[in-house]
Amino acid sequence: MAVASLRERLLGADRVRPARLRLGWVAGGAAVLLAAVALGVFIGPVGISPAQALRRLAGLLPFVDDTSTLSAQHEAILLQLRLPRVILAAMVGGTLAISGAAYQGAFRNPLADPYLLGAAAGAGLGATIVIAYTNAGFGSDLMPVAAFAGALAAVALAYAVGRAGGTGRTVTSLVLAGIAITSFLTAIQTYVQQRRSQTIREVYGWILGRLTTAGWDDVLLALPYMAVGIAVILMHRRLLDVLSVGDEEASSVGVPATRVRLIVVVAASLATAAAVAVSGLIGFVGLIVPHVVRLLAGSSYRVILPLSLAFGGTFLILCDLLGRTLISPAELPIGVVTAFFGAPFFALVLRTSRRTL
Amino acid sequence: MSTIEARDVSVTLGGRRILSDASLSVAAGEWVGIIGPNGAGKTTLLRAIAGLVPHAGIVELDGRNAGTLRPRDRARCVAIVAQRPLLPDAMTVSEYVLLGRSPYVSYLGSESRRDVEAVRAALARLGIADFADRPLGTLSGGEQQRAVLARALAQAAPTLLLDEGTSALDVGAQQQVLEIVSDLRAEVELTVLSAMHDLTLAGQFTDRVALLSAGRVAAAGAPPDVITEDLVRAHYGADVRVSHGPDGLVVSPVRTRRRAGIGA
Repeated sequence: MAVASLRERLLGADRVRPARLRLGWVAGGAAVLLAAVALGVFIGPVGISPAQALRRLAGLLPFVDDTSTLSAQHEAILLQLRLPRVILAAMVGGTLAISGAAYQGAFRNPLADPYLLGAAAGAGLGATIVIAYTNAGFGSDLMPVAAFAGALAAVALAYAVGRAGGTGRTVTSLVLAGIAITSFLTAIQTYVQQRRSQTIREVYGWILGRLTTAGWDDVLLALPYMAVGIAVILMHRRLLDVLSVGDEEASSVGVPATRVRLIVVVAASLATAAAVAVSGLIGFVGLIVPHVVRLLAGSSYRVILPLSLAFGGTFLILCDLLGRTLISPAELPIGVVTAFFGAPFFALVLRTSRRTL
Repeated sequence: MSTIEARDVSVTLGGRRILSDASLSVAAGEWVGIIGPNGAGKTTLLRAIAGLVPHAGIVELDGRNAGTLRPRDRARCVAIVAQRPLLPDAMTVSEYVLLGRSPYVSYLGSESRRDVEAVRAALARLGIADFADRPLGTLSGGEQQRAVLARALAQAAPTLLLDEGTSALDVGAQQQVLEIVSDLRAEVELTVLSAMHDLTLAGQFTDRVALLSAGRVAAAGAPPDVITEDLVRAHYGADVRVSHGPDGLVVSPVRTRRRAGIGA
């Protein structure tokens, strides 16, 4: 018996096992993410030699001496402009993608994205109110706070309405409640926007998403919420697989489906709200990246969640890079770039993949 | 071994009373069939016993009040095979059968070697070890049914609730499932309660049957005492002939109206 099972494992014939992330995918995910970070840091309107930049970055590590010879100006560009922007792009992209995957699992709906329960509309309303009614305006410290509060309030409202819709049909009623709340908040936001038409351009700029003004402040503001949200989502990876057979089956094997959904949705919404607060509304990442991962690597959330994190971050760094270099010195809004390059890429994967969604 | 004791179980869903004070008991190791016309509440009674639907009245599993059990403890007592389980196309058979081990895995934990061994045994027992890494969507209906049974078997619960309440499966597949359950009962000690559509199969496989009609238990007892021409006419509104042959009880529909010259 022991010999047989050992032989099975050596020959790779051991086909009974929990779904797991293969080492190759872990290495691949980490490699593309690191490569994207490197590209994002090295490429820009001001030429900084990659060798020098690497030496300077290595100098940030403990016990490594900084041997670079960068000028103070180049050093500031590297450390205060490019690095925080790339890091923030990775954080936002990873967060949106893993939150989208979590929503898709929690609602068993392939069309779910991180904005499903109204997080986008709530954040949009909060940001619009700050832009329209305060002197602080675009880029102020108040904006992310208002966007964050708006996003969380919208999700809480959608959950309260959806739960009141009755037990048994919780999934559908939650999705419908999210759509209703989104319409309602968007209506108010449009009204505010029309009343204060002088700020419409700024609101529009925010809605298309931005990483332009990113600095270490934004990174530090968003990090704790994203870290907590992502950690909680990752801890529920096995339970999201259980949910995929339906609430009733999940309950019959002793898994409290409703509670798992609540925890996962709250965690994903918290992380999404933080992403929206620092970057505006960046579409497409949360919907498409998890599906690309499904098509390439498998259907278990033990695979989808960590890879969405890595590929979402990679994807957004590359989109941001294109957005700021294609028509340099001007910049394309990142939301435009994600859709323009993401849609054809997704179509390609969809056509060539042999897996089912 | 396990017993099921349901006392005055009532279920109201969406303002409609589905079950009214239904009482039923299943002894350890017994196979009891629930029969009754569509909409009589067969599936709902199974769901109430599995704790999947809010109900009034008391359900006892092995002498313990099921309402006070934690969901995972209840899942260690009863496994349920639903009529049409949701099977994600891309999930592999072994991943699916592993879900049956959920009651033994802690909330945020992952499956142990023991869980994997239990799955291996369940797959081998149902003859689908070769399909372990195949996606569910590529299996035939009968193979999928075996995967679902393997999941229930991996759950290692002493009581199995089997929902065959409507004719989702063709007669061959139905027979196959029942034969598998019958064989399992000979190997592991298993108490079975099954909702059944086909009266002939109910008569041939079960030790006792309970006839459910309009949410109440109208009759219960040995199959020949319950599956009678009179009771079937009264509760199904059907004209049948019940014959008792060497293979057990056979229920055949009869066209009485044609004989009377009305239908023709």
